[in-house]
Amino acid sequence: MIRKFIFFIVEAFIGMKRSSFMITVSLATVFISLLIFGFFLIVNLNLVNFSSYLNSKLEVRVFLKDGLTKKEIRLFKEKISSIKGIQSVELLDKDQEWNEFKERYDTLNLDDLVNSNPLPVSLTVRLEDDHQLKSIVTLLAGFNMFVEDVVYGGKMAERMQKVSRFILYFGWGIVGVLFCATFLIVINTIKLTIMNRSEEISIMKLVGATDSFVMGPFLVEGVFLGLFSSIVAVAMIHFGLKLIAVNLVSFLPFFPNDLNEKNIFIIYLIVVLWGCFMCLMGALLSTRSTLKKIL
Amino acid sequence: MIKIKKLSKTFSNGHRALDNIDFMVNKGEFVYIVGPSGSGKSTLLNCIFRKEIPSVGSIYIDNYSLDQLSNRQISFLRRNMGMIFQDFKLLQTRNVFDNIAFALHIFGYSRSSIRRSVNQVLELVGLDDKAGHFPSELSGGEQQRICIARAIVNNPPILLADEPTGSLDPDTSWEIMQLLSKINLRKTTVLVATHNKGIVDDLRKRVIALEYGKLIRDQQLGVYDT
Repeated sequence: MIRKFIFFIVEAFIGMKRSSFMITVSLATVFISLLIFGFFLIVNLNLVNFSSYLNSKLEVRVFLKDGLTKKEIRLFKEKISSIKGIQSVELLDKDQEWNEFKERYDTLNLDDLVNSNPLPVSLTVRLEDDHQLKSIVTLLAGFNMFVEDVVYGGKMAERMQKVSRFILYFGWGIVGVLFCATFLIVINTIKLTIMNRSEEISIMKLVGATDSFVMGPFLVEGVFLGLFSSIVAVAMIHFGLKLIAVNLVSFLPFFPNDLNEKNIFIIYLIVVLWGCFMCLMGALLSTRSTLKKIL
Repeated sequence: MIKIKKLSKTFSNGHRALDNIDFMVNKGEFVYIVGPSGSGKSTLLNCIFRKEIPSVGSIYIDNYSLDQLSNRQISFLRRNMGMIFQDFKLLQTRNVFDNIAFALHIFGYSRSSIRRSVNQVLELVGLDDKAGHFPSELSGGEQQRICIARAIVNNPPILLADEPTGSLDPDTSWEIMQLLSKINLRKTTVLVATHNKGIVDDLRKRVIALEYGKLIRDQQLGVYDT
C-alpha cells in the first residue's frame, strides 16, 4: 500500500514534469480562480461586517415628556425593553447630555443665554436589525402619555440598509457563481491535461493497470495542483489585503475593515480546502470519463 | 487452456469481423493465426485480450469464461496475458527500463525485484545495453523487442502477438520470431496473428487460417497457404 502510494507520488511528479506546459496552464487557471474567489470572500465578509456595523448604528431616540417621575420613566423603559426587535434601551443622563452639548458649542456661551437645562429626558433604543424599524418607531410613537417625539435616521438609514443588503446579496451571488465557475474551469483544465496523456492511460490499461491504479497519480497531481495554486493565491491575498487595508483606512475611514485574524485564517483555509477539493474532484471526474472510453 | 466457442463479432457499423469461430489451444502451444488483411485476426486476439467484447459466443481461459468480466477483472486477466502490438505501444517519454518496469509497478513488485526482472528480460531480448535509451532512439526491431520484454516480464502463461513483424524488415522479423519461439520453449502459450507467409512456412507450427471472419483451416505444422 505504502509502496503504491510512493509510486503514485513519484509518478505524479514525473507526469507533471513531462506535461509541464499544461500543468503551468492549469496552475495559473486554478490560481487566478482561487484568487478571485478568495478576494470576493474577503470583500463579502467585510460587507457582512459593514452591514452589522450599520445595524449597530441603527438607533432610535425617544424624547420623553416633561414632568414624568423617575418611577414612570423606569416603568416605561422596562416596558419598551420587552418589545420584540429591541436590543437595548438606555436612559440618557439629561445633565450629562447638556454638558456635552455646551462643550461642543462652547463659543455660544450657552450658560449666559439659558438658565436651566432645556433638554428633555430621552432614551436611546437599539434595534436587533433594521427589518422592523418602521413598525417599532410607530409603536414607540404610540405611547403618547410618555413620548414627546421619536427621532431616527429615517429614509437615509433605510436607504443605506437597502444598499448594503443589495451589495451583500450581490456579493454572495458572485461568490456562488465563482464557486461553480472555478470548479468547471478546473475540471476542464485537468481534463485537457489528462486528454493530453490519454495514450499513456490506454497503454497503462493494456498492460493490466486497474482503473484505481491509473487514477492514483492523477489524483495526487490534482491535490498538488490545488494545494500549490491555493497556497500561492492565499499568499497573494494576504499581501494584497495588507496593502488594501492601509489604503482603505486612508480613503474610506468609515468602512469597518475589521476582519480579525481568526476570520482571515478561516478564509485562507476555505480557499486552500476548496482548491484541493476542486482539483481532486476535477482529476477524479476527468480520469473517470477518460477511462470509460478506454476498454 | 484457451477455448473459443461459437465466437462472432459484429461492429457497430454492421461489419462482421468474426463469424462463428470455434477452436481450442492447449497449454504451451504455438499457434499462427493467418489470413489476409481484414480477415479478423486482430479482432480475434483483441477479443481474447478483452480489448473487444464478442457479440456472440464465449472465450474460456483455463475454464474461466471471459463473458462477464468487470473492469477490475479485465485488468487481472491482462496481467496473465502478455500482448505484443504491431505499433509497439511504448511510452515515448520513458526509457527502455522504465517502459518494462512500469508493468511490474502495476503488479506491485518491490524496487529490487523490478530491477532484477527487468535486467533479466532485457538480457533475454538482447537489449541489456539499451536500458537507458528512449524508444525514439531505437530501431523498429528494437522497439518490438521492448514490447516483447514488457509482455513477458512477469512470465504470463499466455502471449498474444498481433502482427509482431508487420513493420519490420525480413531479417528483423526472423529474429523476432526466433525470440517468440524461445519464449514458447518456456511453456508459454503463444498466439501470433500474422500475414508473413515466409515466417509461417519456415517456422512450422499449428496454423489457424481465417477468411472473411470465418475459420477455414486448422492445421498442425501447417503452412500459410494450402
